[in-house]
Amino acid sequence: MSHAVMLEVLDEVECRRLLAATDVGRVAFVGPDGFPVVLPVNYVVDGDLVALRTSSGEKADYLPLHRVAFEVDSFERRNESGWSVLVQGYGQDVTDAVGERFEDLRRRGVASWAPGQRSHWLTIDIHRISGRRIVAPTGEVTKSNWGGQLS
Amino acid sequence: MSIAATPGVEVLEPHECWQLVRSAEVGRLAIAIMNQPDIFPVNYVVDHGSVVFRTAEGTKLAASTLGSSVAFEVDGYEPDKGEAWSVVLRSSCPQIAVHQGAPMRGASMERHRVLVTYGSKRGGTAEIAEWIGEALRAAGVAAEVAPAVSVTDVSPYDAFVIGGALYAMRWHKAARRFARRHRDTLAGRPVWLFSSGPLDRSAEDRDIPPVRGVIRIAARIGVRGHATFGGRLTEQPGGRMATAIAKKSAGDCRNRDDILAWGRSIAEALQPVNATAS
Repeated sequence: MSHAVMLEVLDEVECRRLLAATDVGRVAFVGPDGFPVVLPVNYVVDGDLVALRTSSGEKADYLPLHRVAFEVDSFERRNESGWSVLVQGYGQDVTDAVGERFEDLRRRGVASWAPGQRSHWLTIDIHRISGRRIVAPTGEVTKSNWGGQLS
Repeated sequence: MSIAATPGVEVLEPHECWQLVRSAEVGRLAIAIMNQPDIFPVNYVVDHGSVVFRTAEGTKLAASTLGSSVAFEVDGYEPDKGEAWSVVLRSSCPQIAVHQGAPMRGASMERHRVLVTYGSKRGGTAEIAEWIGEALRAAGVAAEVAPAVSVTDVSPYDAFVIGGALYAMRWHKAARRFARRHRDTLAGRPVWLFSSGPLDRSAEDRDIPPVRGVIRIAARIGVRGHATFGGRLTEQPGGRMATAIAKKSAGDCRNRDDILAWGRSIAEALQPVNATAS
């Protein structure tokens, strides 16, 4: 039984559109023990930056000046289709960064799901962005099937 | 890192975490190669305390999870309750298992002919290859063992095990060359890689990730698995560099039992697809 799952590679314009259209993503970085860490975060997009707020902690300590990955996705269980966009870039702590741009950003705020103090502003520059969309044209696609396609 | 005592944020118990992980289907796998993190969304199922996902052979994901540590995240939002949750799992040793029914050349009842080939400087890696061949033959697989430089025709083999000694973080030249020269054939058949090198017992305590060159080769031809075994360095090696190392760490750090067990696992993965599986 073969399934015609269509895997579409998204262009940069589409990647950026999707990135700007959602507000929850996952950030991955190398943690204190050298192992990767991945956490969900609320974020906003500001030009070439993904901006997020965090309290002092692992993210504040290990994102700035490190290489970071940031991912957003959306999958529809009903028709088993979806998309994902991956950003890779350097993390920065812009809590005290000077300049109109950062002042504007900090005024803008990030709507957050989780409560708590968020003293730090972190950004990830969009050094690389890529995305994929999975389309199930026939509706005959099983979930085990797009496990392979997804990766 | 403490997230406790934040009003409105509840730290979940392990059993609640697993319950939530079982309730979802898509998670994100994070890996880091040379300090560059990467994230892959994957479909998964939970099986006895393991998160199991599939990927195609030869993908970046398959290559990069070989023996490296990973983090896995699942989250969800329940609008009715106004609740959001996330669970993060961390593992230092993902296992790559081949699911039954993986495409394999030839009819399923055919006896597999496997080539175990290697690049070895002073015979330590050659001996590891012999042990793997021994384990395969004991399990009923037709295995032949030969140095990589001597193999010119790979077409008669259904599967390959390629090993190389590691020197200064590089895989032995003969092993690299073999993988490059026969990449088209290798890409279409099951391949396992092994590295032999660490001159201490570290390879017994943990999975040692493959070196970058091996990762690249794995990504190109697609492999079913990789293992790092301890190496052996004799007291009188050739070469000034090796002599210097030998002064400090001569000895045999190979664990024959581990190597035989790895060979048996390859034999198992090569077993014909069970005809009653339908």
